[in-house]
Amino acid sequence: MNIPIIEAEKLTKKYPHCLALDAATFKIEKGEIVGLVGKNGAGKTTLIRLLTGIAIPTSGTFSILGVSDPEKIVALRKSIAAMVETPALYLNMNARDNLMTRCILMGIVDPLKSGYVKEKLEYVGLPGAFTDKRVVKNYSLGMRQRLGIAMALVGEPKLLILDEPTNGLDPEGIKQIRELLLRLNKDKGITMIVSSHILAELSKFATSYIFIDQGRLIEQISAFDLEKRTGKVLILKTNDDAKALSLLKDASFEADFVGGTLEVHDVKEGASVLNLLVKAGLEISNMREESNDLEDYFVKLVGGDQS
Amino acid sequence: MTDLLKMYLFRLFKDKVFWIFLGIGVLIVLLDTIFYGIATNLLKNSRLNVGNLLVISSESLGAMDLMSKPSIVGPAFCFFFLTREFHDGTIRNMILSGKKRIDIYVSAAIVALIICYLNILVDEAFVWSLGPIFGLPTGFSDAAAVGRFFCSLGIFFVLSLMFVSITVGLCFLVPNAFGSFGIFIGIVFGLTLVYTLVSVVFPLFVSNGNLSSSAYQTFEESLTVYQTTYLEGFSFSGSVDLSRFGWVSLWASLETVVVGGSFLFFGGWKFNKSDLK
Repeated sequence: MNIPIIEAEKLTKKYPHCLALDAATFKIEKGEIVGLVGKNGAGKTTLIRLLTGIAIPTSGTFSILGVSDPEKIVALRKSIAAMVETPALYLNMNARDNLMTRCILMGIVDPLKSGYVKEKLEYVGLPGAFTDKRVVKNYSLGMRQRLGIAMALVGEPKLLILDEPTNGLDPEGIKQIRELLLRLNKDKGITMIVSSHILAELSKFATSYIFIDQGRLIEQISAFDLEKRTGKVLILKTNDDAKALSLLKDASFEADFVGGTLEVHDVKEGASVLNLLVKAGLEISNMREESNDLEDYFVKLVGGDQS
Repeated sequence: MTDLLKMYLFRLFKDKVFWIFLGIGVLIVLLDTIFYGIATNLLKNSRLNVGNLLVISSESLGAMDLMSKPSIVGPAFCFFFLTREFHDGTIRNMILSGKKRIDIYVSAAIVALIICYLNILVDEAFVWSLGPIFGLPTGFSDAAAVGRFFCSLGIFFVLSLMFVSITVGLCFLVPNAFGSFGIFIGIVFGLTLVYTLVSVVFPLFVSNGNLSSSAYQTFEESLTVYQTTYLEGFSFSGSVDLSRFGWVSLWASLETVVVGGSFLFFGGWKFNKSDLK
């Protein structure tokens, strides 16, 4: 039996003036690259902070590799690496020393002599940083992001959590980080949770998605299923949408309510949908075809403009 | 915990500011010793009483002395060293390396103690080595002086423990270097003010016969930190009544446990319960 890497049950975080995360329940399987999608303040970072132990849940539980005892989870955090908002680096130290601090914490023996530090820097595309005397404060944002990922890779984590890893990067930097993440997933089988605003970018590598809005987890969907829902979409308005949905599902159409609107996905022939509903005696007041991408889907799902 | 200590020490010895901080301490000691030697030699042939002058100097510079190594210099560096973990967000690396929060906290306290003690020891090593050259009395003229030195050193370290505890507690209660250091300075000045007021007001009561001198002495000793006795004893320039060391040690320990312990407890409690940035 496959044990999920992370399994959360009604995970909740309340702050004095707001409910940052409201009973989030989800499961993440090994090898997935999960895109965490939500507006600013939706609860993405809160969820990441709870999973990494930086924040303490108000209620609810979660397990890491099948272990849910909070005391035991502390030690298991060694198998999780994260970059929350900004890379956690000592700005007054150089890249090599930064990596050394992480190696010491992870109990890696002789990381300099064994070439461990050098290997990590080379893996993230910073081979020169091994001998670079400059302190990290003087690094570019892209270099810091890469170094943050190198730090995260120390100890060979099973799960990598990245909060907005491409924030502030130029298109070239975004591409490099994406390629790096894909390589990590492919080479080392690392499961990833990646939150991002750039949905088009996420859609290039995510294998599943978690959509969050106003602290609520509104949907967890695989990239495969999402693909069916995006693309060409038929939007319908009938005198009985519930009945129409039931009929369409019975006829094996990919139909669902998205943001209160009846949508039929992955339709090859619009006329077949029309015939089915008319034959069943339903009146169609509106029918139009739209091209839907991940961004459109998200906006419909949360019922507003993405900020 | 060993990993945490190793990491903190690695960071400490790689930190240029730490070496500058130690260097400044040594420089102050060096200048202090040189000036003492010059002043003693210059005043030898004058009509002024050198002993009295030193007492006056010691009194007027009392506040400076009190705020020196144990209470300000060491903690000042610790504030910047420890709160960097919050400022740079690297405290997250510790959490994500599977360390318990309590272990992180205790390691920070141990490292802060090492910093403060190391600072004192390095400075004193320079006093011992340079002192005789510049005519500074070492105080090791008899067995009592040696005993006085070790007793003073013990109390000095106990008091440093209190300041370190307040420092570590504040670093985790207010994880901002300037904020926490500001509060710390406030506490030190607050206590100085209390001591000054007590020093002025109590003798008046004693002279009026409303208060016995022993009661005054007891109250004064309750503010151990500000007892010049320790500083005089430690710098060998004053005569200390060795018979009172037991009593004074008890006060120093009690203060350390109560004041330092409270800060240390609340800092750890807050760190264990609260969310990090």
